[in-house]
Amino acid sequence: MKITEKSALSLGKMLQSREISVIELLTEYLKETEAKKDLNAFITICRDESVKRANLIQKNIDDKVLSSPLAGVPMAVKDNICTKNILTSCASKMLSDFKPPYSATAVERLEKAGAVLIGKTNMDEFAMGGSTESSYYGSVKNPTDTKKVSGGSSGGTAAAVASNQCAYGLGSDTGGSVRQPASFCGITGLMPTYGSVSRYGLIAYASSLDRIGVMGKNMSDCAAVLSEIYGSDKKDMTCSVAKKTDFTSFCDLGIRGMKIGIPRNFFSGQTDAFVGKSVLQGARELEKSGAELYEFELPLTDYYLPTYYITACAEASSNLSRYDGIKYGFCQSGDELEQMYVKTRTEGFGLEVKRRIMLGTYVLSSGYYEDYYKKALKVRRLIKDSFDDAFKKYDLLLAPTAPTTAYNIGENRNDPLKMYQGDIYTVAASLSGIPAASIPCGKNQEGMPIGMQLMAPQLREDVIVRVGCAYEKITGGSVDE
Amino acid sequence: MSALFMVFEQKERKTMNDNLTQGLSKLCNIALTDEEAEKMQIELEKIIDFMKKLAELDIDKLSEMSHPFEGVFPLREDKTEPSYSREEMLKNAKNTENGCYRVPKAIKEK
Repeated sequence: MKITEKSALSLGKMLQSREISVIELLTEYLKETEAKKDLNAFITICRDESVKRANLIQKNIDDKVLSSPLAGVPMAVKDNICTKNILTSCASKMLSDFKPPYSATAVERLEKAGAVLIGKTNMDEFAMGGSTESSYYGSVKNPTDTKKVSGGSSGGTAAAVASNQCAYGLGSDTGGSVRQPASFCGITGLMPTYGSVSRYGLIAYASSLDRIGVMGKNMSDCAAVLSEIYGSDKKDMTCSVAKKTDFTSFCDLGIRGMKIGIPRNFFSGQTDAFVGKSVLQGARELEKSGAELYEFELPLTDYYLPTYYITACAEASSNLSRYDGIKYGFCQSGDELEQMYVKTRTEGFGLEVKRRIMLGTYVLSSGYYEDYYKKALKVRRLIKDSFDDAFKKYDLLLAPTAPTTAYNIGENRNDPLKMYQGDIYTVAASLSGIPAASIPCGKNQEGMPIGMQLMAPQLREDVIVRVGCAYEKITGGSVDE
Repeated sequence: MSALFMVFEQKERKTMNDNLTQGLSKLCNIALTDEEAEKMQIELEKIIDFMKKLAELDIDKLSEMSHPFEGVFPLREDKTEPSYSREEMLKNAKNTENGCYRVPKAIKEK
């Protein structure tokens, strides 16, 4: 096994025991980023900064002042998460020269634990998309089949982890943007409870839906990374409830007696037959470890997507009104202020971003606000209540992450509504604020990865970690030796 | 620029539908070419039609949920704390003067 194929936790152990140095490990990863640059997973490689950092971390390990399980392990960060003085572009012309004066809390916490930032990953522009095709810097290719998409919007992080260009990475998830690319690329993606990881430094798309999530080779790695970034932050008012937790302590607890609900309506209609079969097979594997499976019907599935897109686009239209060329970002000058706004925003934003801003503006405008936005907020309550009801009976819900595997690059570009349909199984967890993860559970006849989604009640990431780790043990899927 | 709201009378609502993209372009401060506007109009109408699905539900009596956590978020003490310097905050701006953002004239002369 190549060193870059190992899990983050096993690399952390090797670094602590001096089997390899931080700079040696980093060098191997930097070689991978060079060899695989055709995948276009990265927007920025932080070569010089990462070398300086590696030397500093090595000194701290040698002086025994840093013994965190992830110290010295190279990570990637999605390019909508602020990294001080390092380009943070949101894959948009609008921010193509933006270097934040501060780092996101999640990044600071990982750096405190000794993480080495290898680079900033490619994404759909402003996190709006499900295929990483709308990036100003070009599409990301799926490492399994480079003619196919990596998923989105955290497609760059997913591709980087899957192709061993980093040991783990941070993504963001608003309607499925960590889970779906994890599913398409065959890795683990964990979206924590809304408000459990600080959004300070996460460039906003839809503020009541956005979350920073973790992407890694297995559930143990994701648990370790989540443990470092989880917990309240004074800089984010919405992140005040969650307590710092060691999620790795749940990895070996098993799942005997756990009740797993399987919503049967997530397996019909547009779900690819192979995907449905693989996910159900995955569920049956969990029975071998003592879990109990129950089929049931989740109501309101037909209303998930309209509710999500109305809410997300409304919030996006407000959040993206800040891009006016004045304080930061791309600026196209004009003789008058309004002219400057129009020129800047017309040239600075890509098509999908413009589409969502316009949709959001429409649903918020007087005359339409009641029929769309207010209605969506009421349906959001209904959806959340339906999940709360399900969790009264079941400890965890299990379903496909996406209705299909990765499709060909360019296949859905001219049909935005078809693209949006790909989010059907992920948006409900986003609307409800609950944690959810995607773990790989097989491949289709073309060898493309399939993801199984695990959903738990708010603040119960421990359940997801237990199930994910149990599944890996049963199927031999973990990369740890 | 704050969140965008504009009041439409009934006749303007009809006009908004007929010239959906034009009206929205103006509100969003985004210009589209004629070709882009035509394509965008078709796409937006399709998506808005899809969103109308929510009209099937009888939910008038329900309250809205704008946030997944409905508790009261604790506020910090009303105490001044150190923050970022003016220089750091102005670093990314394209036009500055004397520690301020410089912008085109906003008020038109008569």
